[in-house]
Amino acid sequence: MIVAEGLSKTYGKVRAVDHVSFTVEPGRVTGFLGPNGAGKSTTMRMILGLDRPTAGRVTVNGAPYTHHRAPLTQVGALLEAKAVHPGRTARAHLMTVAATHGIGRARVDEVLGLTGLSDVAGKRVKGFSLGMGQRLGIAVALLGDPATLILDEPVNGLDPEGVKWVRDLSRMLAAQGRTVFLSSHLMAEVAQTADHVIVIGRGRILADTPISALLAGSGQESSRLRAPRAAELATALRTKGFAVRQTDAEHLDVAAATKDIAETALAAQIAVHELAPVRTSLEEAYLALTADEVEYRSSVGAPSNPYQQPDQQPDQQPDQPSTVPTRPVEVVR
Amino acid sequence: MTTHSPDLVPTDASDRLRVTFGRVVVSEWRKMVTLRSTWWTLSIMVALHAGIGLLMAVYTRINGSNLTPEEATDWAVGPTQMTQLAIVVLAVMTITSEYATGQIRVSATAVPSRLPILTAKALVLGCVTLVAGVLGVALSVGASMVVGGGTVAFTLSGTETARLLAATPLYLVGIALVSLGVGALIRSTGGTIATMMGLLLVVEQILMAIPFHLTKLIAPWLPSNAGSLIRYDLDFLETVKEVVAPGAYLGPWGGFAVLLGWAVLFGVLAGVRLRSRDV
Repeated sequence: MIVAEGLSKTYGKVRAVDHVSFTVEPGRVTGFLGPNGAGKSTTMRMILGLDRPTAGRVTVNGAPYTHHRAPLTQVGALLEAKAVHPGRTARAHLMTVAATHGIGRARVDEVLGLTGLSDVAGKRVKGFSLGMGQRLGIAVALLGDPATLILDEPVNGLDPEGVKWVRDLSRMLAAQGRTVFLSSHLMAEVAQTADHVIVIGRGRILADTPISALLAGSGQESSRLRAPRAAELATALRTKGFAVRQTDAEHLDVAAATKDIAETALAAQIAVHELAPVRTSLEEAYLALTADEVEYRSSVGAPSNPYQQPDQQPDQQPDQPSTVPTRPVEVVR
Repeated sequence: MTTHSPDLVPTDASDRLRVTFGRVVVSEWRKMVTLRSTWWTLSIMVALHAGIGLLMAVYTRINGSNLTPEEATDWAVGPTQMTQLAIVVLAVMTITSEYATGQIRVSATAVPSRLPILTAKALVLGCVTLVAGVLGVALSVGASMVVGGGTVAFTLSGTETARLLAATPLYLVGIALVSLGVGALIRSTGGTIATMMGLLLVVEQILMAIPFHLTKLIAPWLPSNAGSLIRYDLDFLETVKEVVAPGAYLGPWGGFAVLLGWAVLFGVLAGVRLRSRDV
């Protein structure tokens, strides 16, 4: 169990993590999702006591990480692939880490087996692929048989078989009652592995929800329509309290069910030529959530509004370019 | 809170498994001996001492004369000025390679209080350097005794000879610890090696050579200048006494104490930085 309360980290003037609170529960895989630079790694480093929070606190299994007398038996962490001296063999690396806790060679050989590295245990890490480096990092994480696992981008650089292995391992560890907290910048990956997801963007928690709820957009539906008098219809819909984005002269994206739109249009006596519900894929839900929060966007020339409130929906800024239909998604803060 | 599968270590293992200083020392020892670079630098160091001793013994014999104990001591201890560079590289790499590779984050995760990592590194590095230094000097003296002719009989009761032979291992330990501390402060391999080489080979010697009162007062207190006094015979110590400012002559053991003082100073600063800064 990981509990963060008002956790913040500031580097100079940059707020990498901004007053973040969340709980990672045992017995399930919790995905930590966000674009690169959103603050995932910084948050994980603070959990492990590597970075000191500017404000707030975080505990693991009831105590700050640095207070544990046998931290490797509490938390196993994979922070970066190949955080290993390349001149050391895989077994030698594990033995140096194991030594700090008095963990014996038997357990070292066991985790080498668990991660499929037995055959290369005597080889120097210099010659390892990124995937083998990831496996070695996971072997280190498993050394102390910890109740909590923190894996930062564990599938990076893994081949499909390795990706499946990490997925199965994560699920197995969670099924054993452990806390599994894994980060990714890929929604699809988290969707396939995690039961619960915490979405972070620009250092803030955007959503803390079961995967299924994120997919359903917390009950919110959205639709796309074409109407010759789109602008008038947009005004009518907004009056009703729906979020609307006009994509061109005749098209609108509306955060409402088709039924509500049809009735609004009828009441306003505005003809609608096309009306269709928009299915939300996880990827789209994620992109919609983080559209305003990615630090480096690819669309050049999009003026960012410094006065924009964090809880403002993207559809209230019709000028903002977006590749996805906008809809309000339950935002947890 | 957790139910562990039977193939894994039982939960109550955390009572038995925990971090102790002795275990961190074992970890640091394994880190040091499992790297080839450790053996390379130590071999070069020992080989230089032994090789130069052997060469000079052979050279003396070819010239038809016998090696005196003073000469044999000189050749055993003399290469220290050169071999300290190997020790600087070893000591610096001990800490900076962890930052270069990211290993430090694994180390700090295993030992969250961090300070034992640095202390254990200093202990292991100090012992390894001491043993290598003794070995280098012993091999050199041995070569002299075997090749140099029958008259080389060392009487270690002669306190000056004993001090000179002990000087190399002790001086190297001091330089190793200073290098470790500076490395932990700077954190970059290139930066630290450049700093240490510049200090040992250039800055200290130039300051010593500048004929101003101030530099003659300060230069003798710098790590290598002070520590080197232990390596000088009595004649050379007299020369040093005349060159430095009055009151800045530290004596062989005083100078060595000052070198250790530098090691402690850099060690404390490094410890503070290690504990207070993110890794």
